[in-house]
Amino acid sequence: MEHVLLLHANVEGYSTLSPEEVDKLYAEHQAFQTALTEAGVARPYSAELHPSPTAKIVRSAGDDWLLTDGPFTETKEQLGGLYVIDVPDMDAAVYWARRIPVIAGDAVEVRATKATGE
Amino acid sequence: MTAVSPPVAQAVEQALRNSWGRLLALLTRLLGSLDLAEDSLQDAFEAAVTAWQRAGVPDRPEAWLLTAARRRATDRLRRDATLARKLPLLVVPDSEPGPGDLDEHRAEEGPEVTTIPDERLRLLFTCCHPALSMEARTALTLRCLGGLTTAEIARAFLVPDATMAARITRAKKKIAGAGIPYRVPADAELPERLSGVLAVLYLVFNEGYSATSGDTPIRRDLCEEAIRLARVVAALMPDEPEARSLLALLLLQHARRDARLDPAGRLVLLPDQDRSRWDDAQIAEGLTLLVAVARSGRIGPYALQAAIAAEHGRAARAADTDWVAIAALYESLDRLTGSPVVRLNRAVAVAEVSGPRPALGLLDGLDARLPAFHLLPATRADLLRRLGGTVEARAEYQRALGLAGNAAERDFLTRRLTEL
Amino acid sequence: MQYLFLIYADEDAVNALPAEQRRGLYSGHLALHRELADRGLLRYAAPLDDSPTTRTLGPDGLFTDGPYAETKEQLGSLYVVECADADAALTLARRFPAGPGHHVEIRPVTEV
Repeated sequence: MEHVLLLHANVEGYSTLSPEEVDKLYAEHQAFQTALTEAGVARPYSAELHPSPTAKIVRSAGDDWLLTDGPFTETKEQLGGLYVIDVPDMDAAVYWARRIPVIAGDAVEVRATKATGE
Repeated sequence: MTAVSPPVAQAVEQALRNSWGRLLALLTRLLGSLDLAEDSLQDAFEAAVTAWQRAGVPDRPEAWLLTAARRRATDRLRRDATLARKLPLLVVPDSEPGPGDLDEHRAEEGPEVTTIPDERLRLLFTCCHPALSMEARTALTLRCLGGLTTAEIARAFLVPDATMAARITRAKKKIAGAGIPYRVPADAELPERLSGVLAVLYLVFNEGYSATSGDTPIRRDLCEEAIRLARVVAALMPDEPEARSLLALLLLQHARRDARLDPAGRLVLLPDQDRSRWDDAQIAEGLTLLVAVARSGRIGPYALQAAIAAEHGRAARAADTDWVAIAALYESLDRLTGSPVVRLNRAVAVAEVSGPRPALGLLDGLDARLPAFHLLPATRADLLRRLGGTVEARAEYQRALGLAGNAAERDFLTRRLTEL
Repeated sequence: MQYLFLIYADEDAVNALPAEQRRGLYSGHLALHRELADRGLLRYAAPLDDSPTTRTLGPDGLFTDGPYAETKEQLGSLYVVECADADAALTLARRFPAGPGHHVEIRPVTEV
């Protein structure tokens, strides 16, 4: 069953990484993806999100759509990436969530997708 | 470095003022990158100083600069083979030449360039895209269309240079990162997007207009930059009456600049201004623009605001002001926008026509919508004063004082308080 | 360009809607899903289980139950769609079925 792993990135932390540290992090993500493959875990979708300031919210006020610049919550962590993995249950998803490469201050949310009839 | 003679310095300065926006817009389309376009153009201007000093100012400075910028862009791309790959590229719809096609334009070099296509509208709509914050839009518009330096813009908005530089860099990154397209919006989106552009220009104007007492040159320059850009937009969008309306509004307001402060730097209200110090030429131009707008039959919010400013502008003395017309215009504007500030101004007009009491009624319920706007309690105070409610008036002036933003405003309110 | 659309809603209010309205929202999503898939633009989409089922790994390295941000409006579903540019993404964002507390966050993404 598909589970979504949402990586909440400590924005300030990422901005202070050296180029070498960035490269290392990318390499660790590659290794993570390889580990998933080797364990036979399907990965329907995964992506890196462009830095938060490009976020845009469209909020309905009656019939009117309001465009605003910026993310939904003004927290220190903003959504930086996501992995969708196909695993039997939440425990398995949690197992892999622990192994996502992170920096100090990051958080990872794990949510199951709703089983659909399709 | 060779000393720069005044004629050369003046030619470069003039080219900067007149051509920066137009050249940047075209280069951005040719190169597909705002960053590369800006860097190359900057290089070209720097080169111009030396080259024109040595060989004289060219007959067609704009063509010279365009060629120089394109050459430098090609050089940059050649020198750093990875640069093209790393560049954040814009989405340039319908572009004939794309990044890397620069060589095809070598044939157009020099005197063969007869007209430089005006791509400024694309640049303007991109800089004012709704995905960007108003702050970002304003900074970007002044930098790209106005050709103001980062330092000049920083001074205008009273922030450190580094802050403004970071703001502009972030905005440009966002344009590329979010896929904001480099184009003029399709007809269906145009009215909404245009009002976004006009809002940016109006904001720039108001930054300059609401100057603190002792208005410094940079603030007046802001008003004039806004007017200059409004002219460009009006010229480039002849079928959009709102663009002309904004220009009219800015001209009619700016016309009053020399009468707004007394010799001591204190605010003078509209009814008390010495109208002989108003700029008649700008008023005339504003009025003429509005005739064309009225003929178009498309009356938007800026047209209404300009019409109100026009009523003031055409009154030789305060007593000649047609308040009935103004109140009617504010009512239309109120209905159109639902803006609390408009409601406030409408109340002022209604007071002139029907007395303070109905005006006070209009102010009901506005406090929740304008909790930090000093003009609301100030207006209410004035109406109460006229009705003889001195005690309540005093309380409202005090509230207004607590909210006032600059010395001129505070000084004015204090004077009103002591006059009570 | 690929854009991620994060659809937020007031979960409790959605769950309290009459069954027919909830069905309406759901079928609206299905229709849009189908249309985008037919046009070859849909890269991934999924409705999510309710937020209380979330397990969150905090910065302290410990898992807790519940979502990361304790807000009234929670992430309800996500779509990854291929759009020509930001304007096309904004146009699409307005089309998602809107329940109570609805808003959409649009993030350009690079698939990895």
